Amino acid sequence: MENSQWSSFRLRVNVNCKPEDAYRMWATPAGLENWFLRKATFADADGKERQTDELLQEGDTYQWLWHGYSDSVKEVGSVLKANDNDQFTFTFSMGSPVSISIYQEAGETIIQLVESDLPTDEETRLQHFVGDSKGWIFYLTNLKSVLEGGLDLRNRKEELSDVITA
Amino acid sequence: MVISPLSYLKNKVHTNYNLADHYLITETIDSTSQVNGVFGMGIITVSEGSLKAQINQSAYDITPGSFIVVNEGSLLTLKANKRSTMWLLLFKSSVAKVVAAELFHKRETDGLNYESIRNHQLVEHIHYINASLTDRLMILLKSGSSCASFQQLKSDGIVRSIIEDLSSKNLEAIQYSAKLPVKKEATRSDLYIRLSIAHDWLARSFKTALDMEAAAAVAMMSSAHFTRYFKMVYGITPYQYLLEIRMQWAQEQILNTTDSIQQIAQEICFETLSSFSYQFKKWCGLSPRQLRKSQMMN
Repeated sequence: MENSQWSSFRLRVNVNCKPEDAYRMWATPAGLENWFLRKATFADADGKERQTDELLQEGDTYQWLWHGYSDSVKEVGSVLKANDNDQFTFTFSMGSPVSISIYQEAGETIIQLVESDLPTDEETRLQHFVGDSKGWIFYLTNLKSVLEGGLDLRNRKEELSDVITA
Repeated sequence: MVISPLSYLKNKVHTNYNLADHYLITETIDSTSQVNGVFGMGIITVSEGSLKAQINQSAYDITPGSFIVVNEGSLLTLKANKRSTMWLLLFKSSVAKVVAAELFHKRETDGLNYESIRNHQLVEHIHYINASLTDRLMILLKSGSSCASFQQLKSDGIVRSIIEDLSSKNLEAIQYSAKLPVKKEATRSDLYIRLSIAHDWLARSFKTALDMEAAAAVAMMSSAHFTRYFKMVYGITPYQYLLEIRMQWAQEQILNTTDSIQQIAQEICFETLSSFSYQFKKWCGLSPRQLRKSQMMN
């Protein structure tokens, strides 16, 4: 693989749902807590906390807590783009942007995730390219399951660690 | 056997965890081993046994439940008093720099410069481990071989949060120590560190019957000097500080447990229920019984 190919990855999942439902799963605090996070707290540019069902906007900042981990493990970042419809981008691992695009194909809704601008040194490749893509594969699968009315596959027990479901 | 830091890390990172933002090494050593050199910024603790640590000119005993902070550039010597399992969490310099820069821009740092924020000399001493730090260290230890999702991201977040805590404490220390009327920086730092160790010791020993002589001894100064300097730095006397810690703890117990008021008072060394009730009402505005009753009604 050439060096530049380690700087981003793309994942797609097909979901039997309305595109607007898929968008809300990414762009509202309550939506994110349905399939991804234990607690998603967002604040607008003035520092005012967003309501759980409010659509997130560019410039919002976040603090995320994970299922299976105490409050001492948190992720912070910001929303880079939100068009209230089909495009949503936020900072993630090492500040790299994650862009979500939602569109239709063959009668189904496609959720496409692109994580880009990852550093390409060997250490980062192993730790972030591999680790992040592996993590998103589980969570996108869980998103599909939740949106199609199936099980939420996440581990919620703090005493259970070292599993791919959290 | 004396081991230099570089060769130590080189030998260890493959068997332990060389993660993006940090090195975490856990190893059981005996009293014949010694680690000596400049490691960079980090924290050191033990899960069993004890270590004798020398940082520059100061010596500390590290036992389970305590840890030391090592500043970047400090000369560190570690020796085991007996067979001990040590934990070395070393931060990569670039991350510590980013955290310090963020802190510098976010907080009230009037009169300070960025370089002074980066120097963690004032927190380079013995500290007591709290549950949150233990929790984070345990997660980091497990994370090296974990298959959990976004493990690297979570580890980086934990390391950042530990550095943020240290840097916040450092900033607080810079601001507190500036209140001491000592011109020479080295003397002021030394004085502040001794006060800070005694301050933490009081917070940890609040369930023990103790007098201020004992706290002054921890700070290695006379009782009169200790009280005077403590008040200059923290704005209250050591006795008031101890009382504050005890009252906060008592309030928590009254609200969250079914322990009797008598039991609670005894645990924090009040000889009579009436003296405890008097102090508590003065502090809280309600007597212990009134507070519990109001809690039950709510």
